[in-house]
Amino acid sequence: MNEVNLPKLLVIDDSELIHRLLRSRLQNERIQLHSASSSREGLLMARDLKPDVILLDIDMPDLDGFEVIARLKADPDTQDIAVIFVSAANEAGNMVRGLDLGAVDFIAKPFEIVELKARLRSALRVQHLVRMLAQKAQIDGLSGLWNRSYFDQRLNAEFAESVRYNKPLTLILADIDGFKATNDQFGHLFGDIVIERFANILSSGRVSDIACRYGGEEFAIILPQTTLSEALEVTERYRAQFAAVTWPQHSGLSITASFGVCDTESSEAPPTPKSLITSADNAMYVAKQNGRNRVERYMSKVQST
Amino acid sequence: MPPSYPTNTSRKIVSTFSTDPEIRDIVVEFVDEMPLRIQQANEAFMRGDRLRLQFWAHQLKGGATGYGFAVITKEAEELESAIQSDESTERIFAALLRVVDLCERVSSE
Repeated sequence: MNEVNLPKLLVIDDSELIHRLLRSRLQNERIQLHSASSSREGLLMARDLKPDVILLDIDMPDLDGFEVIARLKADPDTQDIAVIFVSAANEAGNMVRGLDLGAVDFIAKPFEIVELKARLRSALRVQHLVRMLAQKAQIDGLSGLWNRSYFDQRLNAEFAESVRYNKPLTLILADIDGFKATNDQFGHLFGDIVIERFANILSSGRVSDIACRYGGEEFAIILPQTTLSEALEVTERYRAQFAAVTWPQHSGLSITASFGVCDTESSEAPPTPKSLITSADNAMYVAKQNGRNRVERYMSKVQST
Repeated sequence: MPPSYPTNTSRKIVSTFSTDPEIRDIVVEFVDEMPLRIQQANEAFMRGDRLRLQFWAHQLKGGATGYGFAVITKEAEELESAIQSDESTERIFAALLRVVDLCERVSSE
């Protein structure tokens, strides 16, 4: 596992003594350690880093640990982070309050380092399993791409991000041409192979692109921070790659797909996640009407590329 | 006049982690920084800045054991508690004396 894939731990504590101690004590653990010396800095870092686990002090001057965890749990971006309280405020009431607010554990200061390491490892293990389960629930079993529910959630998030930072956002919708006929002629098992192969091509793009199975033989790819012309190039590549696939099971067979592309600039005004889907879907419909195996973009009037 | 502390360096307090390679270096730092830390407590007390003195005690309480000085944690907790309970200046001073006495005797080896 390289450094980037190591689980991330964020320590939020106003004591430099504690930060120094933990840096030394955890130097041989397989984690990336990050430190915040105030609550506000910790909240910002939690949003940016999305750590797996936070070690959180209770008694801090700007915002106390209870307020910090309440804010973490209220923010969709940080609510899933496992929080362990590490505090000298060891009254039972504090522990109960911390756990009720969503902490997964409570370690009393002064702590035994062996105990802290064991509890940390345990929290990381649980967090890993929780994230794996959550991810599995959002992955389409056949194609291995993100499923529809994830697509809806992610499109909303990326749309909000594009509005907030005034960045372009592009959506591709794709549909395998004549898929029903292929299924009828060659059987569903072969249909599954076609879907897997197409999914494989669609997921071969940039790491930042989000390829999803939209339903049946329809697929969607969200391209954050991507202009329409960049997206059209990518889409044309996908189209050509898929059309060039040879099928050893059925020599001479050619299967193609039709694509509709739309960005936040060209979709119906005012753009919304829904209008982006409708516009890309309209463009895809035009691609079908214009003979299939094509890429079409949506504008106020759909034009062929 | 700054408060005068009884000097007692005859019985040094060695960190229980003095031979622990994982944190030996930071234990040395902790000990080296102790005169400055004592001075900060001294200044806070002289200014009557109870909040700063409480923060000072709170940090020692949370950290000292980790550096192998559990005995300081205990006295720092007493000092923090005395300030939190708004005890008299004399009582706080007595509690501070006990912490400082220990702090002056820390050693990394």
